Amino acid sequence: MAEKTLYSGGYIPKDFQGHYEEIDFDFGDKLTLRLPRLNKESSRELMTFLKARHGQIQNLSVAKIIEAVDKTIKQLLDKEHPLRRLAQQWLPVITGYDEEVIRLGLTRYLKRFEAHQLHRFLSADFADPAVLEGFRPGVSGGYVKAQAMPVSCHIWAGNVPALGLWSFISACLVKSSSIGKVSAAEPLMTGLFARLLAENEPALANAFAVVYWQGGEEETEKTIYGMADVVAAYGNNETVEKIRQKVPITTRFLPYGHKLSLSVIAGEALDHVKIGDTLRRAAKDIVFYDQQGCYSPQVIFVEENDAISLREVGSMLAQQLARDEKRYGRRQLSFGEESSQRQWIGQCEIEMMERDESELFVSREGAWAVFCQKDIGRLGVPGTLNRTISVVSFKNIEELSDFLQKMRKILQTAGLAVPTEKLFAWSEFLANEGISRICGLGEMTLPQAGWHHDGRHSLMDFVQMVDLEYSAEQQGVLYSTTTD
Amino acid sequence: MTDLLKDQVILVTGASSGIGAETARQLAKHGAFVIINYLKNHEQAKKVEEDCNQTTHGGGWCIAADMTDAAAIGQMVEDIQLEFGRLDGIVFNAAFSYKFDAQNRPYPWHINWDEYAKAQKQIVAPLHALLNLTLEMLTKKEDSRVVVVSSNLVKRPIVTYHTYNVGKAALEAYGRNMANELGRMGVRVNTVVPGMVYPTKATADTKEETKELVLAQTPLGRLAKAEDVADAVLFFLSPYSSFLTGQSLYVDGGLTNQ
Amino acid sequence: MNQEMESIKKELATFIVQQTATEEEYERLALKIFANQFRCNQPYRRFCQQKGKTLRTVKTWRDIPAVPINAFKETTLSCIDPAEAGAVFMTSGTTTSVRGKHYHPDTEIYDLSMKTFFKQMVMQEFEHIKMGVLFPDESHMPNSSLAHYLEVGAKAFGIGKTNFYIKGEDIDYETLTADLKAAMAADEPFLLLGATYSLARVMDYFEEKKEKFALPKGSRLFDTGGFKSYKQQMTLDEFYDRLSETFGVPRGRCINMYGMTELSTEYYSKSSQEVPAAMYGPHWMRTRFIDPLSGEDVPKGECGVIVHYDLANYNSVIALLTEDMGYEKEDGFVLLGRVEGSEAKGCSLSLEEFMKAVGSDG
Repeated sequence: MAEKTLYSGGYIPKDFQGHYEEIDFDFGDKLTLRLPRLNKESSRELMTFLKARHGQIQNLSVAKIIEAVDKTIKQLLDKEHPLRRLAQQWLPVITGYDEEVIRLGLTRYLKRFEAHQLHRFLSADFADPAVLEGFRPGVSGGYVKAQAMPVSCHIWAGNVPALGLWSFISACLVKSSSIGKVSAAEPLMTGLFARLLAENEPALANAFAVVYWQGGEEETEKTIYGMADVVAAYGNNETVEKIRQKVPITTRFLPYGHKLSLSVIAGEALDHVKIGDTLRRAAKDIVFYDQQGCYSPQVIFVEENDAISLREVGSMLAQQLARDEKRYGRRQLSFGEESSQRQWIGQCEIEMMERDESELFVSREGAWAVFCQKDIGRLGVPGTLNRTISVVSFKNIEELSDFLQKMRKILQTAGLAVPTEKLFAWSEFLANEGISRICGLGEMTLPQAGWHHDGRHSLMDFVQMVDLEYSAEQQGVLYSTTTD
Repeated sequence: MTDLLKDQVILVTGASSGIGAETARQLAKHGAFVIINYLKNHEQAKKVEEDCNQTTHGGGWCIAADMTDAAAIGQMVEDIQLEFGRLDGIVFNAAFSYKFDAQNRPYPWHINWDEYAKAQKQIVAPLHALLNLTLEMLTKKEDSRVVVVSSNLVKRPIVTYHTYNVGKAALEAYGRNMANELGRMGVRVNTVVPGMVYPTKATADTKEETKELVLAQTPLGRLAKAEDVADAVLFFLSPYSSFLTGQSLYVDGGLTNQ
Repeated sequence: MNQEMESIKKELATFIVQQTATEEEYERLALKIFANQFRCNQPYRRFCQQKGKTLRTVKTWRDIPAVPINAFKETTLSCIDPAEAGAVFMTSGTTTSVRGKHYHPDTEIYDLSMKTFFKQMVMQEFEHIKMGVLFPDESHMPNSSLAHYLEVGAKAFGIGKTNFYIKGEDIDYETLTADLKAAMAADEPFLLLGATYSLARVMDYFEEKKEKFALPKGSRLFDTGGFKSYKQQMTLDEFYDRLSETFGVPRGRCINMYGMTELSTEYYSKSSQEVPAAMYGPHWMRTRFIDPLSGEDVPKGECGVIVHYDLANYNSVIALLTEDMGYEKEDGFVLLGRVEGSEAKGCSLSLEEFMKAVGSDG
């Protein structure tokens, strides 16, 4: 048997001299990932260090940061780069996702952070990105500056590989130093990126730390949340709620909790020629990362049409999932996940005991399941992740209202396959119901650069806008020595 | 023999004798539960059913239905739904009763077009009706299979049974079209193309001179047996052919080899 | 009840009282009952057909499709017209507003099943014993299978009047104390039966009163149901230690019963010497431990989702898919309790979180 590999991950600022512990994460008998682990003392030291060194990143221009990030991304996109190979080798082991899904997913995700895309991030949040460099004339008189929050704290989830990069790069772009806690489920990628970035731009080498601490360690958490200027927390509602309770009221808190996403397929996308492509896209959203991302659909609404019945659409989607399973196998589920799925299937079967028009398609090994339901009013739990989905028919857009209203607080992405003529009507409707991101079917798991995650400003959340008002300028003139 | 088809429910049409009967027995040996469709010969169908039930894991159940009668097909499918709740495969083997009489077969200029139309109606229409009715069961799961039994006379009309050969040609075209349509729905459709099979009911009266004519041109130097055809059908039903659809397998000892 | 049902019932009664059953005997009766349920119960037939399981394809008792227990809440699982049911037992409505209903044509089979196995597992050497019950009597809980069970037990095996100490929310400690003392005075063995959480409350009470008992030799204690709403969780070891200490009954004579409204037969532990103790069912019951998705048996000794096959469920469904997990041990099995559904790692919703997030009660 091959020897077990030990890899030291995470990132500690280059000049940090303090002592810290380490923790080993074991992935089967193949890999041990060693990460810096903070306790009460080391977290205070590290936070103090980051705060003290914030000036370094603060003095760097955004252009320089973009250049460094872009270089790092290009390295990770290079299939021959040792760290890219490392990521590709170990991410499947760590996350259990199919190698192909990792390879393709990683590439298309990393491409979101190339230089031209980073400019899009900036423009999405700032009309004039130069506000990040200093005071700029405001539209209503006076001046305005985007002042970085000195230290941002990120608590990342491990559901999707490299997910942490989004907030890590966002904070970096606006010159905020970061302390990030990786998830035990995917502790590799962000640390790897941080390490490479620090090498590429020495001025950033003391601007962040990628570490681990045990969730629930009261003293450590209180120290970190107490000293951070922003806390961004990703995870299920329970986790996020626990963190929220420990964040001081004076600290900005960015909760990214439970979400529900959905797809809508109009009749126009289901004609004899287009249906294959449409369902391939629908399945792609389900298959990539096994619906573990908040942007993955759990229910697909299909418009009733003359060409094809709901049952036929469901059956064809099921077959598409079966083919995709052969191409991109689903990851191994835990006993708990399997049981959840069994219970969901059981619930569908019970529904069918009473109603003829519902139909369930299930793979032999339970690798996917599609539940077709005609009656939107009876839509219960739409899916239980890991490639399970409800397909529900509707006649008019309004029929979705009841369901969406019930889910309003947790709605996020809608993947649409609708014609231009209806696109804006749908978008207005969905926006009104609480959806914060609308994309094309098949693109749900790949938000575009500048995405307003859960409707928030990705970059803006890590800065504080400073207004230099006209009155100050005016009075300045009054006191100016050069005034006549 | 094997568990290749264990727990699978497969309908074989025209299964009371000849290729159909042999196929039914073969599938049961490999664990399938075979629905033995027949037209009239109850005794013989019962016999096939018994043979199927003698196997270790397989089973048989015979059900009469005239495949040229849409209502009868409907009733049969309903019965299958009730009795089994599932259908994993179909072997479409039913042929209308064509009199294979090489010596006295009519010249095409003596055949009224209605005869051609009738042949197609009897050869292709039953498959169309059957597939429409069973599609829900077939698409309920992954990898359902349909095997159509045709004739090598389509490719090489060594004896020109005009209406029959043209009908079978339409059947093959139908199968290939369905293969493309149903592929995305998880159903594979393939065709087994036997040469002259002897002895069967259809060839029992075939004159020696005709047999010799065929035999002389067959590289493997004999006529096909029903078992030969059943083996090919088994292949298309088995997981060994899971990436094959729209294909034809010629079981004719190389007669049509070009 | 039609003729087939009558015939099944008769056969079942004979089956239950016979000492044991061979695999073939079990199979034959299981398939006969299944066939009747398939024919008479439309929702169940639909359920089976959807799975491709019919009279022809179900060849052994293991092939009989197991119904998720939640189905009792949402559909009618009964061969007879539910309006004609002689008894309806309902699941408790603690976590959901909808209560599952289990219809019984009458309670003859249920009672026979209860008595036969109760005698073997609880009464053992005794024909009768003085009893006390920490549970409301049947008149106060008309749809509780447990109340009925205890009532049947008291009637069949109790000596004199059996007291039921729970009235509404209150426990009648006075009568309980008096009964315990009387048993000690008479030096007659005593059987105290009760819900686990009630026994826990009683122990708290006696501890506060600094009162302990030394029940006469042959006495035994019986608990069922787990802690549920009891304020303080304790380990099983702590529970049985305290139980043994409070009443002066060795742990080897503390018996745990596991029952479900959806079943007509119960499982028992033989002792609580070691916990978790193996649970045992009678010969008209089978238990399987399956992989949740493939439905195949897990290798012996490994953890699986529990499926019950209870022939005494002749009117509803004999095969039940639970949400509990357990593993085979000795000739019985260890029950590990409800399968904890998985928590999603990130921000997408898993089944359980979904329920919480939308505040759904079903």
